[in-house]
Amino acid sequence: MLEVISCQMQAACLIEKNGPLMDFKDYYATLGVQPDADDKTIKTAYRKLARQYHPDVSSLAGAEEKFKEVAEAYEVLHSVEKRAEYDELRQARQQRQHYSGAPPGASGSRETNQDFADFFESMFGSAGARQTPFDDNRFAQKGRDVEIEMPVFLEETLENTSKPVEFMLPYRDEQGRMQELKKSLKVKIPAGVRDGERIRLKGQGAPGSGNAANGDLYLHIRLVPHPLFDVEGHNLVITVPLAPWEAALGTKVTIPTLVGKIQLTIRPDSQSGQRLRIKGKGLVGKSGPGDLFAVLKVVMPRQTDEATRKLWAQLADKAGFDPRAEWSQA
Amino acid sequence: MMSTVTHVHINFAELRQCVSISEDQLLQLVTEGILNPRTGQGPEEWEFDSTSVSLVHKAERICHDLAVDWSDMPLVLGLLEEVQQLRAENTYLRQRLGRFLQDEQS
Repeated sequence: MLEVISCQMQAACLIEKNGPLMDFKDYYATLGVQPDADDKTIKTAYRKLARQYHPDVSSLAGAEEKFKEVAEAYEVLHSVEKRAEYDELRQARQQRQHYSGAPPGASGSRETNQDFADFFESMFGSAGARQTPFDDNRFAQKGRDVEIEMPVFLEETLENTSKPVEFMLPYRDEQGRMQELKKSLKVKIPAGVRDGERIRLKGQGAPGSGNAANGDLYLHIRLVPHPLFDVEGHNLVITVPLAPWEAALGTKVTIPTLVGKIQLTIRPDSQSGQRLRIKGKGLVGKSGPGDLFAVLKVVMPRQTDEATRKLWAQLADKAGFDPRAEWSQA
Repeated sequence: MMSTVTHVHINFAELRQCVSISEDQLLQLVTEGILNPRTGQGPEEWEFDSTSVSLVHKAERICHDLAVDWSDMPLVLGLLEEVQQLRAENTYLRQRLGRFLQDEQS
């Protein structure tokens, strides 16, 4: 009985102390289960949501934040002791709302992942904080690895490039509170990096605790989409619009590359979709430079005047061309 | 403070130190082709791309968070890699298609 009163007082203190700044987190709602759900139901709900939101398997926006909330809820609800403590707090809060007349769930503010983490720490303290792959609070523990996205322009992949990066590093201060440290580095991006590649910078991650080593920093390379070029391995592809008469008669077209312009000869009777290879004008590859492929795209004028229309009509009479001849053979 | 840093390669022993799984579990990832040494004929000579550490950490996270048996991890990582490749290919093909398709203006 004394324990229950203590819990209720703790809940009241938690609510009073944090007031509107920190909402009570409904872990049952986070997992989508009823408060009387059994362990098996809770585990099933967690696994279903974890498969959906785990940042290593999900491509959904905000998946990592959502997963952290789900993992935190599961951390509490699958532990008999933590769940009992949480239920006491939850019950005390409901009673308090009953007396104050506030509607259930009237928190009135956004729930962010930081809110969840703060709430968890308020309940269980930093010593009881959960262990996730994304947090690090054990004694003598290597610092957390940090991964940041590094946008790189195609032009920057042609030779070794130095780029400045700034990022925030989480760490615990002497009082055990989570803090963030802003860090600036100048990193060398090697020529020929590919989209999705990760570069490891040893010891540049979060500081280790208890004299343990720092974590590592991973740069996740993201090639910035180019308005003209598409990337195919270490080859580049550019779409070359042609007038119908250019495709029919042949022409010379000036096309851009990443390092300048070149003249491309279009042979007579070229087809839309045809790929022409320009050797060595692609990206830097491990076994030499890639190629640039020019893909021809025949385009029509948006408007045709009367005189031009007559010329097209003459062409239609003279050419005797059936573009759908293959259909009649099917 | 600004400092210049570069990427590194690591040997098998260093990889072992960076991760918390056992040597047997690590060897399983190599045997099944999930981790591919850049050079070397055996554990004492192997040298890995530094990104191998991130791959093993990913395996550890999945094993812990999704309660997947370690014996199934090569299959899981292989399928995830395939999904990633297919997503990248899908993005590329959509980008290419977008350069050819034109929506009719009404």
